[in-house]
Order: sequence, then structure tokens, then C-alpha cells
Amino acid sequence: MLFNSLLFLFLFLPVAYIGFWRLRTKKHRYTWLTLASYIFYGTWNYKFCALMAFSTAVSYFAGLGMLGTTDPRRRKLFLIVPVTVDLLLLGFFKYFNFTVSSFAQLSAWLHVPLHAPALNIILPVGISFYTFHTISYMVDAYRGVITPTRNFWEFSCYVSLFSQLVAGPIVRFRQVEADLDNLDHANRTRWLDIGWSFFAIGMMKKVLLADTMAAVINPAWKDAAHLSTLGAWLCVLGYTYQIYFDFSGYSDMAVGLGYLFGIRLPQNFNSPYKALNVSDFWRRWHMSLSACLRDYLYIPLGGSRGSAPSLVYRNLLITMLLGGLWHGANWTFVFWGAYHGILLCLYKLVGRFWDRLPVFLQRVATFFLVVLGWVFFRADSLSVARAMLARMFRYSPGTLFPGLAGLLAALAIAALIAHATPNTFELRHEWKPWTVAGFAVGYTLALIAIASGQQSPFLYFQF
Amino acid sequence: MSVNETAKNSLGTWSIGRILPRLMFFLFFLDLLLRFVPLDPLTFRAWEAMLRRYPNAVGPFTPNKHYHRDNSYGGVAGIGNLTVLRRYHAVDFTTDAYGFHNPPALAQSNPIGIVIGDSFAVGSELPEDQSLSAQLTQRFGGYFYNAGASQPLPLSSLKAVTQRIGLRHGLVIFEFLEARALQDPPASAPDGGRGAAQGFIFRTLGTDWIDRFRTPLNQLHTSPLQALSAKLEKEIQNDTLLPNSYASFVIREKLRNGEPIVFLPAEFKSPAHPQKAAERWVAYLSWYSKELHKDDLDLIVLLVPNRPTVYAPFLAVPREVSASRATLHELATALESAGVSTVSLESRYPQDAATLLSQNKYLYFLDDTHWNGNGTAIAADEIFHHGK
Repeated sequence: MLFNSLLFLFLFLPVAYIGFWRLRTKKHRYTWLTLASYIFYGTWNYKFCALMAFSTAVSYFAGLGMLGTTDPRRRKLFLIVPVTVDLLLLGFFKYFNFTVSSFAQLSAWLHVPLHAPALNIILPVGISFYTFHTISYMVDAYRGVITPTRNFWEFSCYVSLFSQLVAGPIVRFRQVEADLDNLDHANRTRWLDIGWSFFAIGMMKKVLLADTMAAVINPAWKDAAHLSTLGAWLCVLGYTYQIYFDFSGYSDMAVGLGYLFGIRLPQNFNSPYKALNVSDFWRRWHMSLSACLRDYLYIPLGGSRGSAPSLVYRNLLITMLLGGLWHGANWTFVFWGAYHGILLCLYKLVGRFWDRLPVFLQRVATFFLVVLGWVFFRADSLSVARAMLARMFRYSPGTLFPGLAGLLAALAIAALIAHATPNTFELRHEWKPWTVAGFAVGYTLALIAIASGQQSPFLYFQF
Repeated sequence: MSVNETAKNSLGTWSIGRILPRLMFFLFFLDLLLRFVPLDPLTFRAWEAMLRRYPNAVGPFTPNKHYHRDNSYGGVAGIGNLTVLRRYHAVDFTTDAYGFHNPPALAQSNPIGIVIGDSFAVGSELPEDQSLSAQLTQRFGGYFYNAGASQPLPLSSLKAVTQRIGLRHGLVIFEFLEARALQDPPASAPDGGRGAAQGFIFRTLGTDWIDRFRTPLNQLHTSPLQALSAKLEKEIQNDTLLPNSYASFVIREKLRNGEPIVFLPAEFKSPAHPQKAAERWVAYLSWYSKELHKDDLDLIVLLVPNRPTVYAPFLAVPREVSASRATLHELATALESAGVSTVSLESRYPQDAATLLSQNKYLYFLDDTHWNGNGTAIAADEIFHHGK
């Protein structure tokens, strides 16, 4: 079920909302939210509910195990076993075919024929996100950052919460623990305005901006090798804003829904295209993932404090490579991760000089580097990425694609919002009546677009 | 972070937390309300305006209703949102008391035959005097009742109709479009293809009970708001403001005389195993024929090729359709062997299509899947000669 579907907006959300606020106790609300979330997830493929329930149960009992012992070895066991189980599940569903096909390609290149079995594996939507939820919970419990909950429904509600289940933000237990604990005291009207404001802004970002750009550039991307230079640049720029408005739109909707149910979710985007350098970009883009990669991968690898420069570069590269691979089982994502890893290393190296450049230049240069990175992220294969880059940097005349007027209009609005206006978390969400009227118009337009049956899934669903 | 999370126990009249949920409720109820308004103004052809969506004992369309539109056009051009390929024509569609496409002006008592089949038999885009049943009436000099529906009527429904219209003995023309071979025949049972649960309900409660709920159910099925939204979306997707994503749903070709023709991808499909498909359908049609014979009715199966089967060789860049030809041939041969009276347009249509093409005339609409008046005239001739 998509947030931008009539089923969600006119049936699921009202029922889930009314049911939730009719219930009074914490236990009932946890159970209700869990049930609603499993229904939400099950409408996509009910069979995978069992997988999420299994992952939830394993992590819950691991948490209980850690609560019940102070023996370091046993605590370690309660960490390693369930994390391994979670990673094996993720590895199987997400990376099995990729690994096998990569080995097959390698063996073909070495002229050693290998008959690799390709399994018909369906990637469960959101597995990367809820696996991160459960792993972060167990690691934090092991480190003593959180006290594992004894309430199964509370934990289950945390893992499966429909608002952030399939595309984040990646929420750590400690970030919502207080709100979950106070769920019975939540006040329905307290965050209603903020919730709807976030939700409506997210919806308009996704449906009116991201989907408009997608409608124009998706067909053009399929024919990347025949684009003109201008067309190629417009295509890549279009994707740059599409992915931002799509993903940050989803995150805003998730945060808004969280508010509607009395749970505050963390910020996921902080105007990333205003970043002054690549390091700054990663502090602003998909912040919940960046923080997880930092806390659960980069720092355990040694981080950047007190390490030799070569080790810092190694740590950065490993973190970004795995971060790239987390996005999908394709070499394009690995390449994208490596590209950003190299940029971060270069920034470590020449940061002192970079920071002396005029702010405007820093912003433009960072944006340019990020835009180039999106070519690898969007391309279906490295050859498509190569073709697109060739079109961008080698002059090729040609006609532009249909829908240019719509793309240019959407690009202009998107650029204005992304570069020159405060982001959703910088707003106070206290609106004057005429602004509310504007929201109502924009929201109605988004609903019309949804009702036409042309809505597209969120890009981050595939990750 | 500037989000103001301070406690707020009441909401102002113009707060977003009040306005947006109310807006959604308003749109929801508006949508519900509009479902009870006739769809005619939103349609460009008769089918959507007239069709009832729920099972019933008799015809598929709203009874005793007339639909007229001056600028109707083909459904395939509509699906592809290809305004330049639309071929506008006036259309009239009148239904009788049972909900079949039978204009009262052409109706006669004591019919000598009945036509069953899908939208081809219905003749939804044709002038009413050019439908297959009307052309047969002209040739045979006796009335042929049009009982075309979304698909050929199951035997039990056909028997109910023949009783109601008073067809005691005569011909049953079973229009069988080539594409039907891709599907399985309905179960050879009195309930004619209904599922077990549905069959049980119909046996227990009878078939008339649904009539009481049919109109409201039918009205609820289609959302005019959604239809309007889709119309708006199609207007915007004009390749200037936004690219026309609907164009990918159709196949655009040119005939060798330069005229554009547009197909649905499904029109090019053929069964993977023509022989097996033919066997299944022959078994069904043999049973159907025998059952009709008990009531003194004679079945004639009319095999109609898909549009590409006829026109693929006449495209500017001809396409291969030997699999389609094989399917039709297999069906015709197997039906004849089984003793089922059959009229196949498999060889006549390509010949006539070639002759007409040189005069810029056609057997089918160029922007729609259906046959035109030339197509039905030839089919009626063939049946007439066969019937004689």
C-alpha cells in the first residue's frame, strides 16, 4: 500500500487513526498499531509478514536475553546470533542472486564456465529498513545505550510502524522510546496541525513535483544513448530533484503520520542541496542512514579519531561502499558508494583549501559533484551510466524529449524550494488561513493526480 | 529545528489539522454522491455509458436507454491518448427491455435467429442498421435478435433469452473472435462459468434477486471523480506539457496506403498451443450445439479473425501472423470435423481487405479493435450463403 493511494488515504488511514484514538491503554495502542502495520505491509505481499514477525521475535528475545544476564560472553552471544540471522535473511533476499550472477560473470571472464543457479527471489519491501531497526536495537541494547523493552507489542510496534516501515527514516529505538512509553498519555490534538502540515507538504513534494519530473525523464532515461547533450543534462538534473523530492516527500509524510499517532520520528533531510561540501552533504542527506552507518560501521571500524590517515580513508571507503550496496544489489550502487567514498577522502585531504572557497562556489561545486553521482545511482547498469556521462560531456546535438515544458516548470519550482527555502523541519508549521487555503488547493491537486491512477511508487521502496 | 511542538489542546477553525481531514471527507462523500449520477457526459462511446457491471439474468446493458454522441471515436485511440489518430463518427446505441442492443425501430416479433458473442456481436461502434444482427435480418428476411454481451452468453442465459423473445426454432449465430481462443471455455454446466459459490447463490436465490440491487451496485462501481481526474491527466499528457505515457499501451503502425492504424498488444497474441486451445473450444461448442439442438435451435459458429491477422500483411512493414492463422485454421477444421456448423472468415477477410484497401476502405475501424459495416456485411453474406 502506498501513502499516495486512495486505499491508504480514504480507508486505511481513517480506520487506523480513529481506532487508535478510541483505544486508551498503551498495550491496546501498541497492539492496534502493530496490527495496522501488518495489514499495511500485507497488502503488498502477506507472505512476507511472517518474515518480519520472525525478525521481530528474534530481536525481541535477544533483547530479553541481554536483560537477563550480565555475563559479557552470553551478552555477546545474544548480539551476534540474532544479528547474524538478520543479516543472513537480508543477504539471502537482497544479495543472493547478485552474488551468484557476479560470480558467474567473473568465471565467464576467466573462461571457467560456471552454471550458477538463479533463484526466483522476491525482495521483501522494506527489509533493509526493518533489518536496520532490529540490528540497531540489539547493538544499542548490547552497548547499554537502551534498556531492552519487556513489552513485545511495544517492540513489535517499533519495528513494524507503518509510517516508516518500508522506506524509513531509519528510527532507532532510543529516538522513539519516550513517545512509545507515553503512548497512553498522547494528546490527539497536540500535534495534529504539525502532522497534517508535514503530511501535506510531503504529499505535494512527491505527487506534484517528483512524479511530474519522473513522468518526463523516465522515458528519456530508457533512451540515454540517444539523448542530446542538453537533454542528458536535463535528464540528470531532473533525477537529482526527483529523488530528493520523492524521498524527502516520503520522509515528510512518514514524520507527519508519526505526529498524527503521537510518535515523533527523526529528521531525514536537512536541505542536502545546500551542502557546502560532500561531508556536509552526508550530514544532510538520508540523515538516519548516515547516522547508522557512522555509529554501527564507521566508528567500530576505527572512525577518524586517532587513526592513521590511510586507515581513515580505508574506513570511509568501506563505509560508503557498504552504504552504496545497502541501496541495492547492483554494481551501479557499489560504484556510487565508491564515488562518494573517494569524494569524502578527497575532502579529508583538501578540506582546508576547499573551505576557503567562497560559500556560493562551495555550494555549486558540491551540488555538481552530487549530480554526477546520481548518474550511477539512477542508471540500470554501468554501461547506461557510461552512455549518459558520454552524452553529458561530449557535445551531441539532437532533439529534446516530449514534456519539456512540464519538466522545466517543475525544475524551476524544485530548484527554488531545494536551494532557497527552509526545509520542512525549519518551518514552524503555524499557518495563516490563506496559507492553509493554498495547502488545500495543492493537496486537492495531489489527490486528483492520485485518483487518475498514474501515481508511482516511492523510489526508496526498492531499497 | 524550528517545529513548534508546544502543547495545543484545541484547534482553530482554519487550522490545517481541521481543514485537510475535512477536505478528504468532503471529497470522499462527493465521490460517493457522484457515483449515482449518470456517466454519459464523461464517456466518448456507448459501451461505458450503457454497460451494467454486475451479473444478472438478462442483458448486459441498461434496459430501454438511448445513447447518442456526435463525436465518438475508437477505444484504442482513447487508450493510447492519441488525439490525432481519432476518427470521429456519430454513434447511436439503443437497448431493449432486456438490456440488449436492439433498437425498437428494427425490432420485429417472431425472430428466426439470435446472435450471441462479444462486443463484435453487439456492434457497439456501428450504425445500428449495420450490426451483424441487422445485416442478417436484411439478408434472411426474418428478424435476428442481437444478444451480444461482454462475452458469448452461457447456455442457461441463452435459453432464458430465447424463451423471453419467443424464439422456438431457428439459428443461433455464435460470434467467436480469434482472441477468445486464448481463454478457457466456460464450464459446460447450466450455470455456464459461474464459480461454485456464485452458482450456489444463484441456485438458492434464483437469478432475479440481483436485479433489485443491480442499479445501485452498478452506479457504485465507477467513480466519476476518478474518470474526471484521468481525463484531466490525459489532457496534460499532450507531449508538450508532459509526455503521453498512455501511448505505450498501444502499437502504432502504418498501412501500406499510408493510413495510420493503431493496435492493442493483446490483439497480436495467439495461444501457445493452438491444437489444445482448439480441442477445448470444440468440446465446449459441440456440447453447446447438441444442447441447442434439443430445443430445435441450430448453432452456427462464426470465426472472426483479430485485426492484425487480417491487416499485418498490409502494413508498411508487414508483420508475421502465421500463428494466428494457424489458430483459426485449427479451430475451423476441428469444428467441421466435430460436426459443428462453422463459417470462417479466415480466408475471405484478407482477400476483401486487399481489395478494399486499394479504395482506402477497410473491414475494421483503424482506431478501434472492432469491425465496421463492411466487416459485418461480409460476415452476414457468408452466413447467409452458408445458411441457405
